[in-house]
Amino acid sequence: MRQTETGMEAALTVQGLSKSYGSRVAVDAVSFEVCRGETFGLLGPNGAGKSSTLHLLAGLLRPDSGRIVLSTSQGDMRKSLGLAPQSLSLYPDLTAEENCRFFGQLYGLRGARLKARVEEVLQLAELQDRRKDRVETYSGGMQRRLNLACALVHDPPLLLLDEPTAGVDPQSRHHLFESIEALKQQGKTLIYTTHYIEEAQRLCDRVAIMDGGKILAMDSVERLIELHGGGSVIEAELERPPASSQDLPGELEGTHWRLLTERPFEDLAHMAQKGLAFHRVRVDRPDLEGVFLSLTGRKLRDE
Amino acid sequence: MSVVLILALKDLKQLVRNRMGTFWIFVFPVVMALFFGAIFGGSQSGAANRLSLVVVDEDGSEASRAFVGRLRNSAALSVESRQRAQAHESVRLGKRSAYVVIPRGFGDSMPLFGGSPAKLELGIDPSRKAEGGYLQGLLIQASFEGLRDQFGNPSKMRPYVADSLAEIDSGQAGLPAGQQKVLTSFLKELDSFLGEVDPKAYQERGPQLEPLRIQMIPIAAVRATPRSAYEISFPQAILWALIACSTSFALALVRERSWGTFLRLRAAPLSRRQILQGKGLACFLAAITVILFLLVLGRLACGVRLDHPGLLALAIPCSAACFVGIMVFVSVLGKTDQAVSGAGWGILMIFSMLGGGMVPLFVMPAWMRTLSDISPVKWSILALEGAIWRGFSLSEMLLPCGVLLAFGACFTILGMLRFATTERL
Repeated sequence: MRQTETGMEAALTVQGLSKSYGSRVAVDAVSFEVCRGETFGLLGPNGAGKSSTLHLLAGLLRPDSGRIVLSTSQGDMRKSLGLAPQSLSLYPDLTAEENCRFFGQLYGLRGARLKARVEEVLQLAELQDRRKDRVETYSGGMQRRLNLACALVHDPPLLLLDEPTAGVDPQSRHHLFESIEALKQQGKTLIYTTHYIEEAQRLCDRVAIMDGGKILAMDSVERLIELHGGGSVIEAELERPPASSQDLPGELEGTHWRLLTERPFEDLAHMAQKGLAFHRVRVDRPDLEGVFLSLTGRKLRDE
Repeated sequence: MSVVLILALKDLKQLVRNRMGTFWIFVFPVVMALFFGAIFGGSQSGAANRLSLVVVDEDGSEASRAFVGRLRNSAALSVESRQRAQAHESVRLGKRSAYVVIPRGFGDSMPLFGGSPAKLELGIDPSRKAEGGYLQGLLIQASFEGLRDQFGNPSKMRPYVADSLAEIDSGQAGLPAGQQKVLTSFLKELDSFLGEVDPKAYQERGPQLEPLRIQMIPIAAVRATPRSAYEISFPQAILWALIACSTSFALALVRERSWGTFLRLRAAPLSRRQILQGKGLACFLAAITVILFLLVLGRLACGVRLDHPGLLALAIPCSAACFVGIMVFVSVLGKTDQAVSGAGWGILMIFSMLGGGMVPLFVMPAWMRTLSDISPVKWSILALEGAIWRGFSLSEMLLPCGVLLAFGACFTILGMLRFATTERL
């Protein structure tokens, strides 16, 4: 079994993966490894190449170059993968149960095993009560949950989730988060594409920030902030203006003080010892959004 | 259960739940078969297939009533009696083929010698030349049957002989004196003969007055004509069902794309060929089902003959296979429902128009019948009719069935090639 650089067992290894549509490069020499049981996020703006990368992993596209090695695969690689596409991929004229049964059968599930798996995924999606209703009667959130359930029915060790919360209400989004966290606890390996930073921050162990088909940065969220987030910002309202502003770092306008620093709390403590009295203090720490915007820029993406 | 069968069963389940699809495949063809069967005359053994004739009997004599009776006995005529004005109007409006007026004096104007022959008036659209000639023949036949009846029976003939003698004696016949003498002598001898002859022997061995007897050999009726218009309308309706079936499943493949399920199918461990095979199998099973449904309905409700199950067992799968090939081809002609639906109905309507799906082939001009060879609809109708009423032998069935399979194979190959191109990874 292949080990990653961190010594963990690799579930998936991608090396130099590229895909072009004519002259447009969708995926440009992308390489990464995903550990077994890890949730790996592909974060990027629209058109960054996230979905194309996922489609390459799922075998829906043939790469121009590069290599994909799935350690969990025995025989047909597709049996080890579960794909929840970005667009809803369900038969609206079939019921939830029929959709799950059909996709389970395609992966070779039969009889009691199929029945049990359908039961489990409907329970996970909290659709047991509506299992006999046609999907066309479902709300958008219910369809999203079923979309995930259909990807899980054959119990794949590796799940590819392409923006699974797109266009759902907060309740369904919360439910999907809980479902994904439950899958993490079951030891599933997840690859998750999103352009919602809070999702990546909440769910992913590691994140690759993509733009223009390339991976710009890849690490844990904390490390990405540390490496690319820049300093914290202290904004304070002083009780009275200092006697002398010469020893005060940063900018002072009347009683409004602003400082960009790597060690905000040490600096605040130091200033307090020097006799500075604060009426109100706010510390803005760097976050993933700052990292994301600093790496991908602020220009609008209309694909 | 194989993956192809799983795919097919899923598609059939979807078809059953699609009310519009079910309507076009199952309900519309039934309506069409019954409607066109009815308007083209339904059962051809009934009165609808006879010439409709209105008789106006203005004479009212025994002879005219006997004449009308003979017309009514004709298997080729459907006779009804009316007043002259009504008869004229019903022919003018096209409700009846023709009318015949038996004028006053008809019964008195059947002399043996001299005088004028009996007269009839026949009212008919002059453009209906064939029917007019046919009717004249039938009227002469009825008249001739009267003469035969008259001359073949001594007791019926003697009054006519007596009338003729009286006419000659009175000089009304206008004959020269020599001929008058010879004829009087002949008629007296004849009267004497008719009075003495044994009537039974006379009828059997006397003058037959039947110069020509035509023996009808019923080859056409048994071998190559439909028993009823339903035997034409049901094969046509089956073709419409197959067209609807083909288009429905072609659309089902496009909907896999628009619903996004095609992504899941391709991500699943099955080949693109299996995806197409699944659709093809579903289409084939639906086509077989609807053909059997329509044939059984035709048999039970309209008397369509299913006397050759072996030939039907050949025609049905060949027709279904052909339309599966067309389905595969049509399904890859566009990427949206509208594109495929438009292309599908466009192509299949042309095939249907050319192939006798709308208008029976025998109504078409010769050049169009030749052109119809390029339409699978024509061959499918031919195969079905061959098994239902054309009385094809097994070897005669091989041509339409072979052409259908060839069409099916060509369309499938073309469709798969295009599918491979459009779905290139």
